[in-house]
Amino acid sequence: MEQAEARRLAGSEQAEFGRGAAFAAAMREARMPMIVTDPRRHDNPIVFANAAFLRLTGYERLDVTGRNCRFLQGPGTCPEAVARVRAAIRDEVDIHIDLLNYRKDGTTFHNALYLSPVHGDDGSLRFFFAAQHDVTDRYRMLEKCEQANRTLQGVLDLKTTLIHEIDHRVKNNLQMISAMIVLQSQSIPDPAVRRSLSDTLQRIEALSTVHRLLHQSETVSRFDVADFVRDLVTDLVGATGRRDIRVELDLASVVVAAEKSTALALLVNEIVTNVLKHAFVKGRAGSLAIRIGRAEDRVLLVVEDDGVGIATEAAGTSSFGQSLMRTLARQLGAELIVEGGARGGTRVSVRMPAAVALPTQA
Amino acid sequence: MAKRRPLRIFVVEDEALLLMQLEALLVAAGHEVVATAMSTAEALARIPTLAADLAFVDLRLGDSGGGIVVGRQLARTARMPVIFVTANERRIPVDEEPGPPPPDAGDNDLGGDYAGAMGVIAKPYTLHGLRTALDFLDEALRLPPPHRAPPESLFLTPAYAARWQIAV
Ligand SMILES: Nc1ncnc2c1ncn2[C@@H]1O[C@H](COP(=O)(O)OP(=O)(O)O)[C@@H](O)[C@H]1O
Ligand SMILES: [Mg+2]
Repeated sequence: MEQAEARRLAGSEQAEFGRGAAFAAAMREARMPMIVTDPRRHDNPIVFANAAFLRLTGYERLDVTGRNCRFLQGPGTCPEAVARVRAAIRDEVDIHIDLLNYRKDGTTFHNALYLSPVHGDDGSLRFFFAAQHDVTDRYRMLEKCEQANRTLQGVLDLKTTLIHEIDHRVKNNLQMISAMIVLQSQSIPDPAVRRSLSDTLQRIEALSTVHRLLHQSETVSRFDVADFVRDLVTDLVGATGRRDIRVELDLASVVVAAEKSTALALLVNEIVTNVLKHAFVKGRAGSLAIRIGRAEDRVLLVVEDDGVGIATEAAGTSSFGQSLMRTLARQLGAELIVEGGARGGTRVSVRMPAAVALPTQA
Repeated sequence: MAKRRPLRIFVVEDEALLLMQLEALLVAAGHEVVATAMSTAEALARIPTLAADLAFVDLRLGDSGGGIVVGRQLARTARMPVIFVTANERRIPVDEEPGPPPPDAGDNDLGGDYAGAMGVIAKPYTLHGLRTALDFLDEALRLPPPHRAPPESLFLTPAYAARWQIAV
């Protein structure tokens, strides 16, 4: 009886659906699984299913004809997707949706369903036409990609944790080094030795500031010299407790690679601590100007004070401060010029190759 | 400096050198370290009998719980201003569920952000950084609200900034 029905629908010239034998034959033989349902009958049953549909689902023709398509659903089928299909049928509109469907043997496949209403000449609803496409491979690929992403995310999380861990340890260790110096100098009676320890502490604090700034942003590999100079100078001038030293900052943002940051920071620290230690002695007030800018192929850092001025022979001494400054400049490939300033004090210029700076990020 | 009553401070830090340094610096600034703890367990055990004006708490304490648990207990139950001193700012829960406030919290309950803490000092701090933070806290705790913004070295949590109407 179903056979007859199918033949009537798919093959007969009189059938409303698929007028013309050639068209019906094409549907029968098509490799794309296809069905037709009849909404005018109770529960919108399948009235035609082609061989490809039977191959895909594993059912016999007898199993499917006269039944509503919901037998393809199973516990894993998404209820919202089913609801959307039901709504499309109710509203007599097209729908394209992926569903998890079940074969006769219980195995599943991902079904890309294309469902369209078919209206008669008078505009009334006659059939629903549905084509199925097995897209399980696509889902399998997707699952594989997601699996790979999860693995990568796991590795990345581990690495991030590790970086945070190392960052934490470096910061704590820097704090411990400063603690050792602070605690030790408390028990040293000789003020000259205490001053030396204090110089050392200042250098370590400059390193600490670099490290704190490097890890404040997520961009651990970049370091803005302007931020550092602002922080360092505020800290150093504040620490002197002197309100008669005015600070003028004119800082263009110059971003350098992390590996250059400590050398540059230590160099700035030496120059600025020298100004604060030597330029404004015996109650002399004054100003400290720091400028960072780019000039042609150079990055230029200038520290200028209007203090007592530097004795020419002092700049060439072999004190630790001087040799540290010269060697840091060498490390940066920079030219270090110490000279009398325009305002009578001292001007220290550091001319670095532009290659030190990284292109500013958009 | 004028002779003011020193702040009574509770210090929680599991690293020996850092505990000694902080103690030394607080004492040098004229304050009194009334108690110290080197683990979560030690800190929690000390809280019920603690009489302090301020607590400095390290986040990572080597045993389970850690500074967050200690800080939350101090801030919400003992109603004590807490400053986290940490190399781990990222670990402070910014928007944790506050949970029900303790019955006697009154308007001292600041919810779950930053475990109810007042501020954060990032490690490694500089001597000057710590001093300026201390000066600010001293002023803020004696005569609230403070009349200036906190120094660079001290991050004020939004709850306290709002309470004191300070833009951060
Ligand atoms: N900005 C400055 N103004 C005046 N004198 C300076 C300045 N910078 C450096 N000097 C002089 O240069 C000398 C050498 O400096 P440095 O090598 O850093 O040694 P230190 O700072 O330990 O004395 C200082 O002792 C000081 O006399
Ligand atoms: Mg020097």
